[in-house]
Formats: sequence, C-alpha cells, structure tokens
Amino acid sequence: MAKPDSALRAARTATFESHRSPWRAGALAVAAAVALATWPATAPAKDQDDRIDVATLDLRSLLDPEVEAVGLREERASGAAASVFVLSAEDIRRHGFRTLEEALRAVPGLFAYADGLGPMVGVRGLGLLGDRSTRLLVMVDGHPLNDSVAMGGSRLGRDLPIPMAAVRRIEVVKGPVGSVYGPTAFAGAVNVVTASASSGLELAALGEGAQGAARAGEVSALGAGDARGVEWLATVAGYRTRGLDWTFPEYARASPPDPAGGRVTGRDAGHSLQSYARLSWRDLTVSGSCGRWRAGVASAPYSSLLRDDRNALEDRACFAQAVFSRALSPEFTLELRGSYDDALHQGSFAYPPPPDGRGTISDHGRDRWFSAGARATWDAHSGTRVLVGTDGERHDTAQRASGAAPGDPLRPVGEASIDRTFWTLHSYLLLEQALGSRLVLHAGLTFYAHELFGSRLTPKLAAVWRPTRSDIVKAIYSEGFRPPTVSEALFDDGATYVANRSLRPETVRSLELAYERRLGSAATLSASVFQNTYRDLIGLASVLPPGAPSPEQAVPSDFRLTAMNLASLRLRGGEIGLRVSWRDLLQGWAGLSVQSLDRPDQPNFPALTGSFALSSRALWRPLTLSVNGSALSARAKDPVVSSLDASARVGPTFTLGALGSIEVPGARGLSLELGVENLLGARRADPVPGQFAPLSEIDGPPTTLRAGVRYRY
Amino acid sequence: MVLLAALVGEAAPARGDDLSTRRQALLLLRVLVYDRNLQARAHGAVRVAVVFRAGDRRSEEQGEEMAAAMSEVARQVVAAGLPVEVLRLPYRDAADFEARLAAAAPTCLYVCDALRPAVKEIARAARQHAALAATASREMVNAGLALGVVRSGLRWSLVVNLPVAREEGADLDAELLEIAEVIR
Repeated sequence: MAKPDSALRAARTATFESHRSPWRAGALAVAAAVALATWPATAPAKDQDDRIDVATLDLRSLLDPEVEAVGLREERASGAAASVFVLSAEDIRRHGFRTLEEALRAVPGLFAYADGLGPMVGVRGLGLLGDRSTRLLVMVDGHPLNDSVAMGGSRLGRDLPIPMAAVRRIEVVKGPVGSVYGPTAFAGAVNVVTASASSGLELAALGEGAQGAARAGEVSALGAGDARGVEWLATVAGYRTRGLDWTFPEYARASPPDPAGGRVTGRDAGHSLQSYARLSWRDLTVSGSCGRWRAGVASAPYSSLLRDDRNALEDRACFAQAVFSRALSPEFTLELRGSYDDALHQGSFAYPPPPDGRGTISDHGRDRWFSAGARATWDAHSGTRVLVGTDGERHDTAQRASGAAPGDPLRPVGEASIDRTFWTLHSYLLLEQALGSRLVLHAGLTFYAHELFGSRLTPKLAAVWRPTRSDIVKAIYSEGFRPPTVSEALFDDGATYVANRSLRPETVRSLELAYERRLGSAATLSASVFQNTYRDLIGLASVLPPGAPSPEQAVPSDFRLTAMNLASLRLRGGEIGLRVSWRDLLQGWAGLSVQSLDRPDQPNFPALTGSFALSSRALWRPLTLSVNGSALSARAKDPVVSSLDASARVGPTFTLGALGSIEVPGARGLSLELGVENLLGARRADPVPGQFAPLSEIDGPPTTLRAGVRYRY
Repeated sequence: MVLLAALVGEAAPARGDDLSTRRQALLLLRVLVYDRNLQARAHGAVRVAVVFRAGDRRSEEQGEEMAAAMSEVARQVVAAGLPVEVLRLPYRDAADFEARLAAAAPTCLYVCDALRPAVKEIARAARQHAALAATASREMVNAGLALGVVRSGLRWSLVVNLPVAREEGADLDAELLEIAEVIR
C-alpha cells in the first residue's frame, strides 16, 4: 500500500528547506506530520460501487462548520465530546419553525412547556417549573443572552432579540456544559449561529389563524452584501398577535367561582420587534441586536384580577459585541471579545383598588453588564490541542416593585428593592489529546467566581473512540453548577416574594455513554444512556413572611413565595435517535428519550419524551412536504396547587404539525407555504407553579393555521 | 453528520488547515453536480485540474496541497455517478496554458490564488475548452472566474459568476443559485 504522494512530498520538502527558513520548514513539517497522521484516512481507492456519490450530500451542511458550542471551536458534531444535535437553516425552513422554542421542541431529548408567562425548554426530563431558562444557556454566536436577574424572559420565544431569519444553524448540547460555559449551562446549551453574509435580500410575510379568526402576523426582511471587503448583514422582524380565546375551568370551580366560567378572550395580545446586524472586516466582527416583546397575561397569576388588561409583561434585550480573531501562526489562534448587554423586564398585575386590595403592582428588573474575554488555542503537532480563556463580567442590576398604593399590610410595596453591582470571572482550560488515530481524550476545568455567591471549580472528562469509520463511542463525565439568580436570593417585592440570602448553589454530576453508527450513506443511528445527579435544586416554596400571623391564624393571602434549596434528585435515562438524509425522498430525524427519577412525584417530570421531523420533495421537486411532532408522558403537578384539585397530574400529550411549501415555478425566489400547528387539535396541558393558584395547569395553543410568502432575491 | 465527518477527515489529529482544504475540495465536487451539463462535459470522468503558477513556490505548494486533498476525496466519492480524476496544471503563459488545457481536457479548473493577474487569460481558455473555472478567492470570481468556494472565518460560502459559468458551458441548477451569492 503506497503512502500518499502529498505526505512524501511534504516530508521531503520539509527536509530540504529546513536550512532556509526554520519557520516555514516547521510549517511544512507540520503538514507532513498531519498528512502522515491522517494516513488511515488515505486508504486505497475503493471500488467505484463503494464510493459515495457527492450528489447525496447536503450542500448547506457542507458549507457550515458543524458545531462550535462544545469545544469553542469548529468541529464535527460526531466527534464533539458531548451529545450534540444540530438544526440547520434548511431544517428550520422546511418545518416552518418560527421561534427558538418551536425548533427546540423538535430536538430529541428536549421538551417544551409553558406557564402563560413564557415558553421554557426542559432537557432529558429536567424542566423545573418557573425556570425561565436559568438552567439552559442561550447564546448567539457564542454570546450568552441569559441575564443575572432572571425574573423575566426566557429568550426562547418572541423575546429572543434576533429574528429567526438570521439563523443559520442551532446547536444544542444536551447535558451540563459547566466546564466550558460556567453556571447557566446547567442542563445544556443552545448556540444560535447567525447566517453568513451571502449577498441578497429576503422578504417574508407570515400569518396565523386559529379559533375561526385571523390571530397573528409577522413580517421580516434580511439583507446582506459585501462592500470594499466589509461583509454586512442586517435583518429585522415584526410580529403582532391579537391573542387567543382561553378557558380556565379551574377558575369556574374556584371559590368564589368565576361567573364567566373562566373564559378569557384576547387578553394575551402582544407584539414584538427583533433586529440584528453584523459587520465583518478581516479578523474583526462587530454585531448587535435589539428585541422587544410585550404581551398581556391571560391566566392572571399571583392572585391578580382575571380579564384585566393591566396584567402584562414586557421584555427588552439588546447586546453589542466585537470579536477579533486571528491565527498568529498555524498552531496558535487568539480571540478577543468585548460586549455590552442590557436586559429589561417589566411586569404589571392588577388587584382590587385600595383599601381592599393592592391596586396595580409593577415589577421591574434590569441587568446591564460589560464583558470582556480572551481565548487562545494552541494546536500542537502531536495531536494535542489546548484551549485556555477567561471572561469577566461587570453587572449593574436593579430590581424593584411599585404600586399605586401600599396595599400589603405586612410590608408596603416598593419598600424593598435591589440595586447591586457585582462582577463574575470565568476562566477555563480545555485539553484534547489524540492517542493514535482512533481515540481522543478530552479534559476541561472551569473556575467560576461570583462576587455575591462565591466560587467553584467544575471539571469534565471525556473520551471519543472511533473503532471503525462507521462507529463512534463517547464516554463523558461532566459537572455543572448554578448559583442562585439575583431574583431568587434577593428579590422582595413586598407583595408576592420574600428574599432568601442563604441559598446554596445547585450542582449536577453527569455520566453518559453514547454510541453513534452510520447506516450506509443515508442514515445515522444514535443511542445513549445517562445518569444525572442533582443536588440542592432551587425551587419556590410558600412561606409566611416575618410579622405575619401564626400559620394557624394566617389566611392564604398572607403567604409569600421564596426560593429554597428544595430537592436533590438522581435521574437515569436513555435516548435513541435516527437521522435520515436520503436525497429528496426523505430528510429528517426521530428520537425517543426515557428517564426515571428517584422522586417520580417531581413536578413536570416526564418519564418519556419523543419527537420527530420528516420532510420530502419526492412528489415534485419544487414542493416540500413536512411533518413534525412531539410527545410527552404524563407529568405531576405542583403539589401546592394540585391539592386543590382532584387531578395530581397532567395527561400525556402528542402534538403534530405539518407544512407544505412550494417554490413557485417561473418566479425565481418566490415561495409559498401553508401549514397547521397542532393538527389533531390535541389538548396539551402543562403544570404551572403555585403562584398561578387556583390554576394547576394551563393548556397549550389550539389548532393554528399558518400561511406565508417568501421572496429571495 | 457521520458521513460528512468520514469524508472531511478522520478522528485522527488532522489539523484545521488540512480539514479545510479537504472540505473545500468536497464542496467543489458537490457544486459541480449542480451543473446539468456535467454528464455531457465530463466524457466519462470528472477531471479536475488544479492550476498553479509555475516557478512560484507558494503557488506550487498551494496547488500541491489542493491536488492532494482533491485526490484524497476523489478516492472516496463519485460525482453524479462519474469517477473523479485530479491533475496538476502549471500556468506559465497564456499560450502554453491553452495548449496544456486542450491536451488535458478537464471538466473543471481550480485556480490558485497567485494567478490573480492571469484571470482574464485563464477565463478565456476555460471558455474555449468548456471547463468551469473555480477558485477560493471572491475577487477572482468578480474578475471573471465562474465559481468561488470562499472561506470567511469559520464559514464557507459560494459565489457564482452566472454569465461566466454559462459561457463555460455550465447550466447550474436553481437550487445552487438559491444558496450561492450570484453575480448576474
């Protein structure tokens, strides 16, 4: 078996040239070493029948780096030291996903739930009520969006500041990634990779109808180009909804009963504006985004008045960042980042006017922070890769409540507020060492320090073994931790929350064994088993504040919510998935995740989650037909509120969506789409936390018809 | 994913640049399949000629690296059912190049960066011999080559000079033109 000519030539050239230029000779020697190191890949020519036809490969996938979120560098998802799922822009377009939450709902192992204040996503069975994405890191091109106050937006719905039109790829890392990203990546991480600046213009107009009426509309525009070496991309999207008609039977059964039977019409009307822009010049990329989302709240949480337009939420999030990345040598790359973020959340809730009630109470939370970081990557000749970096953040947080009148007999509204300035420091070291051509070992260590909540070291160990060209085995040990959010530890609005300054950080230890096998050139089968051990999980509990009557004498309105370290859990599970890419005939994936918990009464824990998304252009090439669905087993309700109701669980759910899109023949760039969400009209109820009492569950959206037109120039 | 991984490189300690060149080679072959005239132009095999400037050591190295990567990929794939052949083609001057091109009869040219000053001559020869001329440089596509497989940071993009591609005998599918940046 002859060695590849390139390797021999490179080795020869390195020898002859070494006396002229040590630097260049070194580079050539590296090339030779690499060519020789990859020798197993340079196998003798296969018979033509065994070769893969490049026509079967997805061009868009080839254009993309496959995943960046796991090791902070471009690498193949299959070789990354984590369980990774990647959604491409083509996947998003084929299935008509309009929010991040809709896209993540289709990812095997993830499940979406909502409580009327916003969408949330759970990972492998962990989906704490009222979580607000404080355990799922959401990033845009590696820039974290989660704020430290964490009283409002989850950044998974319309409160994501960037339009979906700007998304090129969504990378999902399942399991704790604390050794890379620090505290928020407790359950997993989602990295939204923005589109490249291919010159052109894309316009879209989309509409939604449900319950026999037009309900929502969206318009978006994206432009990109290249001028004098500067690549630019800008996009903006606007969305408006009239809201839906909801019925909350539990209000009709409450005491006193709601005379209208719990029917609420159009109180969740809302609108959003999202924008994103990016400029790239040589090694420098500057980007910025701003989004605003405002909507009414139909479900009247915190014992507020039902059917009152003052019940509303508003989220604003903006960021600007500059990234300078340069390869200083073939082995050494340096990246510098600086950014500024501003996240604002406001909520208002209506109560009877004083002196009988509290009037209108408004909660206001804001987190503004500067961050700066540096990251260096060294690729040694011997298959060693070292990545070291540090990020510092300086936060200025404010949180307060205000009311029309001090209605709380225990503590006047607005008396307690938070104004805190603090810093965090996040330093990390990631090591990779290839042992031969089949095995790569990974190790990571993060030091995270929070001025208010202390510091912590988080390790990670992994091995990725490729016994054959078709098989990959991964063994992963990782940890994660999450300090309390500012809201959980310090918020005290005098009406509904009491601070708890003695909260301890949550921790998780995760063990996973994953296997992936390529089945021919058209399919990939994956399977994994995992165990996550959680300690000191933080949740909300009902307590009596200082000065309140004794429990025997207290009435329900005397109780307040406070965050506490409530649970330690051990979760074990397995996941199986299949991804298919068979020319135009069938594209998509399906997955099933089964998990068990040592405390099966844990609220919102599903023992089984499943999802699939399939599409085909087999009937006619301009026509794409797609179908996607997700399933959840029954979940326990919050015991605080389920005791008021005969049912302690919400039932299993299965929702189905379908979409057809056609590229209009003869009209280049013009496409039309028509789809249905919740095609079967299934009831999809999610449990809600205690502050929604007397509600213990909230239904998902009804059958919704979607139509749209897109034009690309 | 695994399929792409297998083609782009093994789990061995392959370096980023090595992977990058192989990915570029694979992308170029993938794009060629979008040419509806490929079967007619290829005459039984897709021949890719890597063109470098003779006597320019840097260009020769780049050509060598690309040809090696292309050969590596060609061992493992076919393009629309056709085998892929790779050859290296030096550029000395326009007349010599045209003679070599006529003899080699490639389906596609991959033009190395150092040949920027000779783009017009190469494009003219490519037109005459119905060879689709590709490059890694956006500027060279603007200057008259048909196809760019361009890397910017971690991202790849495609640039198609549509009038030039048509003159070189290619009939590119609309799906490619949707994905690529098109110069009309």
